[in-house]
Amino acid sequence: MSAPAFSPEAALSVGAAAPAGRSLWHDAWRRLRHNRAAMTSGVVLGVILFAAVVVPWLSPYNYYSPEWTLLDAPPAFHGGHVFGTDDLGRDLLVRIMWGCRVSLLIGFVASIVSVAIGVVWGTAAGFAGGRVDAVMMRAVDILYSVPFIPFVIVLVVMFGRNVFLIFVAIGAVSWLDIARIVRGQTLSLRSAEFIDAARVSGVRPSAIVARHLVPNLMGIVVIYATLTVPSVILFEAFLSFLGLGVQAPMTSLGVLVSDGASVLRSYPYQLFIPGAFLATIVYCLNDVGDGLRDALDPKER
Amino acid sequence: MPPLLEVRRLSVAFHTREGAVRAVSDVELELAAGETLAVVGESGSGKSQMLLSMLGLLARNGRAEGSVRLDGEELLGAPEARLAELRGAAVGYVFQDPMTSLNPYLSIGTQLTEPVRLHKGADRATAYRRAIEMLKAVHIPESERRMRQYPHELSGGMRQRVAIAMALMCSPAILIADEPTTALDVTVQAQVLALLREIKDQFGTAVILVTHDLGVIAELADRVHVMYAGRIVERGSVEDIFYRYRHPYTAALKRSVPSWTESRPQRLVAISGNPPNPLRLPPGCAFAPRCAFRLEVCGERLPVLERVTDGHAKACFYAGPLGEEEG
Repeated sequence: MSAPAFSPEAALSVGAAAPAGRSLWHDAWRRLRHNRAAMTSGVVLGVILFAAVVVPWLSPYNYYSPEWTLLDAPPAFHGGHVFGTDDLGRDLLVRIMWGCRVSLLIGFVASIVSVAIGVVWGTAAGFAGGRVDAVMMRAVDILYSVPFIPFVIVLVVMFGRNVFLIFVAIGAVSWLDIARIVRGQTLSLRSAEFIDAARVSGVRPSAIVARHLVPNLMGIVVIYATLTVPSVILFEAFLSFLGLGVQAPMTSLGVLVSDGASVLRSYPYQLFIPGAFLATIVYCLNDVGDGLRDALDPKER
Repeated sequence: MPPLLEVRRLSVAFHTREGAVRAVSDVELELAAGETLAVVGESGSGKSQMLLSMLGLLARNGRAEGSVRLDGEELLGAPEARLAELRGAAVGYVFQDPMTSLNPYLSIGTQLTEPVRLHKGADRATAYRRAIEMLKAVHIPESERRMRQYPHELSGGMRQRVAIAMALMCSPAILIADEPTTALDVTVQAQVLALLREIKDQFGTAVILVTHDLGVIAELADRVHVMYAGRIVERGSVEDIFYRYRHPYTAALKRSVPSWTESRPQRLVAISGNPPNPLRLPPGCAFAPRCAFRLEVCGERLPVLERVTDGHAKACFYAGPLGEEEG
């Protein structure tokens, strides 16, 4: 080329100090730290998670051994059963902590799986466009039309009952929404000028998707993911209620709430305590999701 | 010495359900190193598609034919990997709207350094220094601080400066500016134009300036190509186009520029009619249906570019006077 070539030596002569590493995530974390509601919710979630891990380990009780002399005991600090016992005399505190473990695990794993599939599928369809897009989205439509409960029953009949199956079943269904949302966003972003700008500066398509497209999708994906976690937790409760989810004596928050609901009149604490945990977790997740969305958007300072 | 950029019989067509849309037909142009070439025309006259086709960036249903040579190297049909190398490195591109041509989620620094790191394999520190240097070249104060900011924290004029700095990061031989001032305030326009002139003097970059603003041309260009319906209808020096124009379309464009020198307020002069539908271009001259000097032959045959004087050519059968001439 006849224009003066760019030389590192010339650039060096400007002599500015090298920058500190600043990335999207670095900036986002800095903004998130200043969001009091999100940080509080995050801490509450962390405490629940910590308790869920530690309490069953330290407690003298376990989640499956009945205690026939102490059926439906109310919450009491001196007897050792802080949250009381259930209709088989099992310690509710330990059972609720196990419920949190199971529900959070299913919620997060299923959500991560469905977000990952949904984002990849949606960006691929939206960015490729044309016939590829049409075929990929018709596949989504077809999966949408599969009735969920028969699908799960078939899975259970074929593979037997286990928790892993619930991940598969829920993940297989919930990525569809994310794929559609992401594809719609991608379509509108694809024609944005900054994408053209990246193309004319020679950025490869894969790098355009990774560096320019995905960060612009993060806000909506994070919001949707944090809404997915509670809905997956509730989904699991519904499956357990039908006898397709986790199996007794193992438990989950959904199972505890539905068991508690049946004895609401006589032993309300059996509904309200696990219900309070479920509500707190869902609320905190929404708060954290909100905070994450704001943190990921540079315009929100 | 061969021209830096040489375009021969470039045609671009898009295949749509309703048939082939010819966006660009038989365009010829040359660009010497350090020269500024303006391409003028109404919206939809094929200016942007012509430039994008040179870099192999047409939409999937688009096809380009002809020849585009950059420093003797044929670009049409070149492998995608080679084109990707040239984009940004040999040719820089500035877009119309700086509000949308910068990624809102990435800091200025990240976006500025992306092209050098990509093309020159520069490490983070080198790219950073280069970015600071370019921000200074486009007169952005406090460049260290700006590097950490996001596009929404900058004004429109500032963003366009950043976009220009980004296009210049790899010292391209050619800078393509696609209506670089259209989306800006008038005062900011003047600053950006001054900056472009300074840059081409300072770095010796050849500039292709796409615009529909004749004022911008007068300010910056050496030579002008006037496009209508995908064809070049007149080309010449700025003086040729401004004072010795020989094509009725150029004349009409000139007349439609509002004048501030008249003492009495005047009606705005518009070119009657609309540009033709590129799906159904008329058989003869595409401007004929709107032309005040139409001859019978205009509806039948296509006028070709013919020499008026050295460097000045027009594609028109009509040879008479074009109403009030200036100068």
